[in-house]
Order: sequence, then C-alpha cells, then structure tokens
Amino acid sequence: MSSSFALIATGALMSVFLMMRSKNPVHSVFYLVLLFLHCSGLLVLLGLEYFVLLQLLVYVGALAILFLFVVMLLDIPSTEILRHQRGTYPVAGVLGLCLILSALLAFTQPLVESPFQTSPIPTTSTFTGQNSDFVSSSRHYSFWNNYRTATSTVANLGIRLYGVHADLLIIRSLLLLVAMVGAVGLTLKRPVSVPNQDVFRQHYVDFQKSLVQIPQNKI
Amino acid sequence: MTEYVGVLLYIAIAVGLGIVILFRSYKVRPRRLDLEKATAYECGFEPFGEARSPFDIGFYLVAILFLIFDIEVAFLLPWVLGGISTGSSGFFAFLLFLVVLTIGFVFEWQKGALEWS
Amino acid sequence: MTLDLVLIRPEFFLLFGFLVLLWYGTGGLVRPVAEIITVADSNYNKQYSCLGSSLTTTHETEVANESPKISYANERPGGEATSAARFASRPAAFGSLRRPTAGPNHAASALCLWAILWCLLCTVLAFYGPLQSVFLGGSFQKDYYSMQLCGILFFTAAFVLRVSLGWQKTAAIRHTEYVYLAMLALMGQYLFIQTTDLMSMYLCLELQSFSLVVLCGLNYKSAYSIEASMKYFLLSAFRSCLLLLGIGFLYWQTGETTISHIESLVFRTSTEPNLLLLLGIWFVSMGLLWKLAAAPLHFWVPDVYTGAWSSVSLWITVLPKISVLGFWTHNWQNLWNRSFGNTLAFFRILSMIIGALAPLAQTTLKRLLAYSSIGHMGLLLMPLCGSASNSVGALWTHMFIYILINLGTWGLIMAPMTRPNQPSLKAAGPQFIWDLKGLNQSSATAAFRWRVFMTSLAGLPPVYGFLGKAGILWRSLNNGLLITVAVALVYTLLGSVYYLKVMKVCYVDNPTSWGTYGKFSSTTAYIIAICVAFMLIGLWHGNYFFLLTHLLSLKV
Repeated sequence: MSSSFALIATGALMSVFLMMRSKNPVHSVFYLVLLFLHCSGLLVLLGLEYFVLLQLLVYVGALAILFLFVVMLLDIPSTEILRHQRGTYPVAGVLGLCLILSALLAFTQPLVESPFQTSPIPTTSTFTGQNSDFVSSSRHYSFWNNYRTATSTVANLGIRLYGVHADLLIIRSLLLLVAMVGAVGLTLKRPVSVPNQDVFRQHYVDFQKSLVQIPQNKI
Repeated sequence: MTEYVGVLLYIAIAVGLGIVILFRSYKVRPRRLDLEKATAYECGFEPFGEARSPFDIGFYLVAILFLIFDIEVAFLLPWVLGGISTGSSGFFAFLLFLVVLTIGFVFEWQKGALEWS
Repeated sequence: MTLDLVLIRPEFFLLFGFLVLLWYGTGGLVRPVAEIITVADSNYNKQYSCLGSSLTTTHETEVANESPKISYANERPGGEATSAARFASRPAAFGSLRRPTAGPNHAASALCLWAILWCLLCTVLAFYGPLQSVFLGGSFQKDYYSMQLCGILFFTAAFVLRVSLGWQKTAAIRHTEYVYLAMLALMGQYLFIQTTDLMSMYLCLELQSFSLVVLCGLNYKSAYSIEASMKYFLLSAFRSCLLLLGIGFLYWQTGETTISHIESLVFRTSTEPNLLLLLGIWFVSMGLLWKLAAAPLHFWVPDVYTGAWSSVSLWITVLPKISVLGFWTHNWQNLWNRSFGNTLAFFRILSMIIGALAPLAQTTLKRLLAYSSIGHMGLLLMPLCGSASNSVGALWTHMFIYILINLGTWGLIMAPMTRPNQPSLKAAGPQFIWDLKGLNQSSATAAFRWRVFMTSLAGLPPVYGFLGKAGILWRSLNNGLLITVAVALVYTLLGSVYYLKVMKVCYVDNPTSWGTYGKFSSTTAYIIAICVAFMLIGLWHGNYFFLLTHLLSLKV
C-alpha cells in the first residue's frame, strides 16, 4: 500500500462521508463529484488510463449533471431527507461495524490462502519459461506481446475494440440507440396540436413580399 | 508513474488558482451585513415557498442525450489511439458505429426532442 | 455482391433493414407518417381517426387545435346517415389542415407492417442461409441449432407483431418508437441465441432487456405502466450487476470469456473447481434464470405483465424465453450441469408450486397468465436436468406449443370488448375474469376458443397442450426425476382449478349484464383460429412437431 493510495483512498472515504452527511442534496452531488475524482485517482494508480478517462468524461462530465437535474426535478424537501438519513442509521451502523472489522482483519492477518486473493496477471514472463513449447509459441505471440508492452492500454483497447471485437462495438452502438430512442419515447411530451412557429421560416420572410395588396373587390 | 507529473502539476495549479481567486475575492469585497440584508427577501414579503422549484423534464432529456453522445465520444478515443492500426476493417466498424448513432440523432431531431417550444 | 453479403451475414440485413425503417420513420426522406390516435365514435360504434397530429417537425403540416376536430366527430352523425358518405366528405373537411398527402395515417401500424415483413425475411435468411460461420472475434457462432432457433424466433416475432397490430389503434399506440424498440429487442434476442462468449452475452442481454424496459414504460400516462417499467428496470439493473460480477469472477479465475474455453479449462484440467469460479457460474445462471422468471426470481413478472401493454406482455412472455432457453441449452448447460446440476430442482419445484398456488387468488386475466407462465417455466426447466439430448427435444416441443397457446390467448385478450357499465370511448380487451361472464351466450365461438386455450394451458388431454406436458413428464420419468414428476402432477391438478374457473365463468355463470366482444381485427381472428385448429388436431397429427424438435435436440 503506497502512500499515494492511502491519500486518495482517505480522500474518497471522506468525500463519501460528507456526501452522505450533507443536508443539501446539491452539496451531496458536489461531494459525489469529488468522490468520482478520487476514484479516477485510484484508477490512475492501477494504470487503467481509459477508465480514468471514462470516469472523468462520463461520470464527472455528464452523469453528475444528470444527478443535479434529478435533484432539481424531484425537489425533495430537506426535512424529508433528514428523516430518511435518520432512518438509515442502524443499517449504516452495521455496515460501518463490518468495515471496521474487515479493516482490522486486513491489518492483523493478511489472508494468503483466501480464494479472493488476486492471482497475478500473466505477463510476458509466462511465455519465456523453460518449456520449449512456450518458447516456440512466444515467437508466435511476439508481435502482440511487443505491441502490448510498447503501447498504452488505450491503444490496446482500440485494437481489441475495432479489430477483434468490432461486432461488439456495433451492438454497443445499438445499445446507445436504445437509450436515445427510449429517452425520446419516454420523456418527450407528445405535442398533440400545439401551433408551432417555425423560427427559420419567420426569419426568412421576405418583407417585400409580405405586404399583400388586397384586391379591390374584397373591400 | 512519472508520466503523470504533468497532470499532477496541472491539478495543483488549478486548485491553487481556485483557492487564490476565492480567497482574494472574499477578502477584497466589502462585507457590511445587517439584519435587513441578511434576511430572505421576496418582493417585500416573507418568502412563500421553497427557493427551488421543479424542473422541466426537457432539461433532463437534453442531459440524457448529452450523456449518450459523451459515451459515444469515449468510444471513439481508442480508435484514434490504437484502432487506427487495424486498417480499413476497423475504419468501417468505426463508420458503422457512427452511422447508427447519426441515424439515431436524426430520429430524435425529427421527433422534435431538441426543440424548445 | 450485396446479395452475397446479405446471404452470408443476415445480421447486416437485420441492421440495415432496421436503420432504413428508422430513417423512414423519422420522416426525413419522404415525410410519410402522421401520428394519429383513433378514438371510437360512441354513436356509431365505428372507429375512425378523428384526431390528427403530424410529426412536429414536418412543419408544413400545421395542424390546428385538437378541440374543433373532436367536436367535428361528435356533430357529424346528425348530418349524414351512412358512414361511407362521411368518409367521402372527410377530405373536404380536412383539406384546410393540410394533412400529409402521402403515406399511411397510422404511423405505428404502418411501420409495424414493415417490421413484420422484415421479420419474415429474416426467418427465411435464418432458415436457408449458409451455416457454420464465425463472427469477427469469435463471440458469435452459427450452427444448425442456433439458426433454426433464430428462424423460429423471427417467425414467432412476426406473428406476435401481427396479433397486436389490430389492437394498436384501439389502444392508442401512436408511438413509432414501439416498433423500433421491438425490433431492437428482437436483434438482441437473435444475437443472444448465437453467443458463445460472456461479453457478447452480456451486451445482447442488455440490448433486449433495456428495449423491453422502455417498451413497458412507453405508455407513460398510466401509472401502472410506469410501475411496470420501473420494476423491470430496477430489478434488471440489479440482475445485470450480479451477472457482471459473475462474469468478472469467471474472467478473473480463468482469463477467458469464451464459454467453451472456460468449460474445458475448469473441468478438464483441475479436479476441484475454485469457489470463486462456482460463484461466477452461479451469478451468471441467476441472471439467466431471472430473465426466464423462474420462481425465486419471479417477482417482477406479475406487475410487469399487468402494467405493460398487452402486446408487450405477449412479447415478454414468448420471445426472451426462446432466446434464453436456446442459449442455456446450447452453451450453458454443460457448465451448469457439472457445477450445480441438481440445484435446478429447487427452481423448477418452487416455480411449479407458485404457478399452482398464486393464480388461485387472481382476478385479473393478465396476472393469471403471468403466474401461469411462471408455472410453465417450472415445467420447461424440468428437461434441463437430464443430460440426455432427448429431453431438449421435449423442452422445445412444449415451448413451441406454449407459443401457440400464448398467441391465441393474448389475441383474445387484445380483442376489443365493450362493457355494460362503462361504455367508454376506448374499447379495451377483457381485463378481469368476470369480464368473460356469459360469453357463451354473447359469443359462443369466443367462449369455445377460451375453453380450448385454457385447456391447453392446463395441459389436459383432448387438446395439443397435453402433448408437450406429457413429453416433458415422460422424459423426466426416464431420467428418474420422480419427485419433480410428482410435483408436476400436483401442479397440473391445482392448475386445472383456476383454468377451469375461467371456463366456468364463460359457460356457467349467468350474469345480469355482460361485456361483449367487439369487432375482431380480421388477421388477429385468423391467427387465433389457426392456433385453435392446431390445438384441436395437434394431438393426433403431432408427429411432425416431434420430429422437428428431435432433430433440434440431436443438433445441440
């Protein structure tokens, strides 16, 4: 556990605490943004650059705005929020106890035999073992290996996403399309018969032609 | 981790600048509060209701559409950085991805989701 | 070259057909469509569109206010006597409104017709396209089994859309999104059958379940519909979290997402599978069983069925089950069987118990059918326990018969019905069981159809429904699942009670006032009649069905 991890994790926990404690939902959303920033910091420590970017771009950039809109849309009075907060104290107490216990356990006896232990990610060293089969196969993989180690994770992801799994990319675009069509279908009020004004048509009215001479017989 | 030093520097400067600006404006401005100034004021009356009022759902729709296109952009980034080496097949996958979303965009435009009447 | 592309890759046809329809529906090309509600004319009991509103952006069709047109509809009957004359005079009255000159009046049903055509073409492609091809990354694979199932899926989807088509106008569905979302869900289901990979499985499952969520909530004026959509969305989000966690565990332990690779890695290399691996398999299976609505994971079903439009409920009843069962039998069966083989007994017995007991208290037809589908899911899970491929054949026999029964039953529910105490403008189908009171007197044919379908759902002898149930029970006996068979028999006994209750209401009850069926849409009536015919003669001429499903089971 490095010092930077400790710093960022503490910051994340603090911002979670502040988010849950704050009485104003708008403040909560801002603490949530702070939490997202800390999470992206943790992801930087893990070396997952693309997810850092997603976290910043999607969560901080768009989702936080969406949360703000939801807060404004629902407009829950603060008394109700307070009531709700007090109602969750027992649950929070139990969960906090669990957290403290697990932290203590983690400090006193790091579990070696646990099934939840992360197995080391296979790296290039796997292919350069003593076995001659591995050596011959490592030549086979050499381009990919060199590429994988030489470029960033985002570039690797690009090759997987656009080269190998392009079909999944198309399905993903269809998922986004569902979101688009669904958002329009669910929230758009059907304008039954609103007399719309076309702004462009009004702007492009020719003033010379808009004066109409009324025929004599109509007067 | 050394390649992130620039980012760290950037964050430090941004935070420092924010603190400096807020602190200076807090110090420089005259603050002469009295009772009348500090009370909430609404056209000569006590405030009737909450200051916040429910939003129109149209904002929400726009936010969702923004979110969708945000994710789309996030998916385009790996193509620029690495997917470009996949050649024409990758490019066509990229184009198909964009075409699907563009047609979705045309759909919602024609539906009037972007209009504000 | 284009034809080759379409033949080799039906998915391209799928996608481009969908995109063309989407483009057509926007009105960007030809401005063809107007979204029109149909309001029943209470005086003439004849429905015609009187309330027009075009797409908002087709700015040349500026439609005037809503109110004058309603008054127009109401004051007409004083003037002309025949409806033909009224229709003749309509263009003159509407001339000033500048309605769209080309294209259909009811956009949703026009697009629905095109979607049916699309489904039928896809059926042909799936049945007759070349086989044994792998997609780009190997995430999808076509073989005989999956392509036959895909063809059946599209064929069913065409009929499901067609059954609901006559009902769409009366239910005031004027959302063009309805068709698009249905097609997107269908695409997800189609690809889901072919997946061999966990990543693509997750994506396809999300594609279909999110489209179904939006379909459930599209009728957002009704609180029930919103409730249905919220429940479906929240529970399916929770389900997909678990599913993702399971996939994560599997990937963590094996470094693979391809299911066959995981299978060979886990069960052929080591003797004792890891705890995390088992947990991963369990979570993914729970996600699939949630989609199938097996018993402890069934809580979303009744509310979703009640709240959504009847056509959407029919869609949810039939199509996801084909795809999930197809995936399960094709890819997931081995992995599940080796790790948790006998645990499925819990799910099937519990769903049969719930399917037997819960509907006894229901008064709504839709909830009754929802619980009945849970019970049938218990039956359908029975063949999955045996390792013999024959039992898969029994599964599909029952599933296909179940599809036929559902088409007919939901077609009867979607037929317009007028009630004595509420001569409402919008003629909805029968909603409560007591709506069917005295149906034998008012419409003996409809009563007969209800009787046939209810007997089929109960799985009693003189009709086709018996065949599927008997096949499943026979296979389970062969596999030695005695307790399950006993539970299934008790379930049949108890289930007959509430199906008989519906029949009793149709035939025996003598009410003082009763609802009557209105005019059936002709195609719906034909489809119901065909289903009835299948039900009646199927028991004596069911050989072909058995052969087909046996062939399917040999190709798993």
